[in-house]
Amino acid sequence: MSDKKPSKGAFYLQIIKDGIIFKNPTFIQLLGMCPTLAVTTSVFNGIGMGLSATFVLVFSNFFVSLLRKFIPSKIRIASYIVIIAGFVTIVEMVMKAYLQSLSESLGLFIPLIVVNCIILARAESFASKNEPIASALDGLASGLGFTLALTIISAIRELIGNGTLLGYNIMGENFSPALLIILPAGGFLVLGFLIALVQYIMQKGKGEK
Amino acid sequence: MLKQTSKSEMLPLKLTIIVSAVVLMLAIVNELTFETIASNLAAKSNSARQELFVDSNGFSPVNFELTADEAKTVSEIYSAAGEGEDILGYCMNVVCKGFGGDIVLIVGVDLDGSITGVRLISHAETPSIGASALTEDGGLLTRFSGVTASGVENVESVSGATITSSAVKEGIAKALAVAQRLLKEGY
Repeated sequence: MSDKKPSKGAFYLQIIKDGIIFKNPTFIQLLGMCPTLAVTTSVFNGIGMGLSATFVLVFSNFFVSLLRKFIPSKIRIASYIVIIAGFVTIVEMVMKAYLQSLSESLGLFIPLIVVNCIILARAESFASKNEPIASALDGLASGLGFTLALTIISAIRELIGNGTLLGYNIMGENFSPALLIILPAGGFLVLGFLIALVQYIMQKGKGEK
Repeated sequence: MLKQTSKSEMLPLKLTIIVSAVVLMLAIVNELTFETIASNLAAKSNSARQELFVDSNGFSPVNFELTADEAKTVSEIYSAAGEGEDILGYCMNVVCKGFGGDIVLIVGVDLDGSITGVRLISHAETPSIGASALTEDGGLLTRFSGVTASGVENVESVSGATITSSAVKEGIAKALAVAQRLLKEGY
């Protein structure tokens, strides 16, 4: 990053790496904790939530960036929220029409994507300062990072707490699931251990350098 | 100075432009998905009715006059056709006032006035609290099978989902009152 004007390819690559790993919205930035804890009781819900948020992130980042010179800074938050709410409503309608079972199991959490702080954070800290393509890419990377985190958390919780993975029984008939992991307290526990693990790996990586 | 006034006057205009553009976009998506959503809901309601009256040959809407108060709870009534002219019972779309908004149920009532079953159509209850009572595991809805108007009160609520349980019980009690009138008066 010492080079003041890195090539576009390197810049894009950095965006992708940051969004998915080094600035992972869930494990590193600790953004969007509410949906993270609430929907990760099954992998199906986790992935569904992650991809819905990713869709909203890509489009809201793209349009916020496109309109960044048009939107006056005094009303920028209001404008971002309107744009984000618009895309969330689109996701909700499309999901109701074509992915009924997902829309039923996610229910109330879909409209709540509007106030998911990852989306507002990316709009404010990245899209309002960068080109549309880079912003859309940033939205995609952050969204995939979020999806990855939700998938890992929900896989652990579903496997230990319910003995299944994507609804298929993995642990066999004799496995007695640890119900705690599916309950809200289990969400905090799994998230805490995973953050600790990620920090450990990151610190170790730094130390070796 | 002049520049600043013109700039601040642009704020409402710009916000209006953004909002209008978003509204236009939503209108287009709504136009594209509206029919699919409606037909999904209709298909879901139909299969729910068929589950409640397995032997039925078909369902037709019943034009029964409801009081304004009843109409708030019971939105639609269908009769379940049996062999020939026979009617097996009625299916009612019941709207209960839950914690997060409307809970829409389909309640099947046979000719004796007892419930054949209850199916969930839509709700907005809090996930893993009120909503858990409405799932198959939660078991609130299955407890109504075979219950008559006098028995609704004694149906056991789900602990931790008191508001949802009470809302469902209240809605079903009202629906059964309508059913009794319907069975007595015919239509």
